[in-house]
Amino acid sequence: MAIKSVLKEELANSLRMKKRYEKELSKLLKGSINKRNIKGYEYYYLVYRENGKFKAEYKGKSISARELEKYSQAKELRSKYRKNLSQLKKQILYLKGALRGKAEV
Amino acid sequence: MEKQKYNLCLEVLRRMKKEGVLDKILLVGSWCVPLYEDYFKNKGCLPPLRTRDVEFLFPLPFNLERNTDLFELLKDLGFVLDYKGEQGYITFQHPDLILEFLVPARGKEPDKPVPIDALSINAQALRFMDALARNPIQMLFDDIKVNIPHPVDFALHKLLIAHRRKQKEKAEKDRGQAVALLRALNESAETETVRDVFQAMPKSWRKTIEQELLDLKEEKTLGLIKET
Repeated sequence: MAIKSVLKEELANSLRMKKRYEKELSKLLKGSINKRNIKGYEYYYLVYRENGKFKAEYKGKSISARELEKYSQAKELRSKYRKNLSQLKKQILYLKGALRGKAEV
Repeated sequence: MEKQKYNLCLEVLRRMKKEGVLDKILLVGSWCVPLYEDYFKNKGCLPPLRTRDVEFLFPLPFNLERNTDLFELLKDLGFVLDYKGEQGYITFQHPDLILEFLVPARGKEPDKPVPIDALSINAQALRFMDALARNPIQMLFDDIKVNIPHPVDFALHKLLIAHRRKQKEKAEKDRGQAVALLRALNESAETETVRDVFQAMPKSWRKTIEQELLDLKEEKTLGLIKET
């Protein structure tokens, strides 16, 4: 009985957390900064995907260290949040199964 | 999965230690249970059920030499910040762990979140928390010293709050942990400490605990702690 109650609580937590991660992911800076070397000159591009298509937005010949850092942090967090979101989806499936009595508790 | 949870918790504790936070707070809740097993040197003597919630108790007033943004400190571990309940208590959420912050309830608005400015968070105020922080002990969580409530305080606190739980199952879990701890304390010849703490409690608290033990048919345990 206590285990079922814990599982229910964990499921509610996971569902809520999934929404939070999705929201945080949507708030993160999109894309990452890509440096290209063309004929000996450096050019910076913001690269991202939109509707399944690759896009590259020209940012200039130089970019501030602060902006680079912002994109780099966002990239790192995006990767962590995606990993956590995937883990949460698995948890939710497992917990739903366990509560229906289909998975081993 | 358990190892992943444990390692994440360890990293959280390590960072809090480095910032001087951990020495001033107590780890409470189900994450203390394995540490009590170490205290009694008896693995498996307590119910193993442990959730993702890691609860920290902040004795009031809480100050730090150097203020720290706690969320910024832990953000890169993959936590997201969430506001829980109607009152908006801050929690840090991760698929493996949920960090919660508690303080003893004081004043006229006990339900209101209490700001902890030194860490840029707020905490949930709960009754009877002072009883948990009365006489903390230090135990090793891996290689990190953490403060946890004395097992006597933990056990009696569980009996004090069990009937206040909205969820019957949680109350059962509280009672189960309390009885297991009291038995372990009796077996390790600490009955006198239990008795002293119990006797020093306000009359209404003693009455609640007595009733709980009677309902649990733990007359023997009750006899031991009431004996003078």
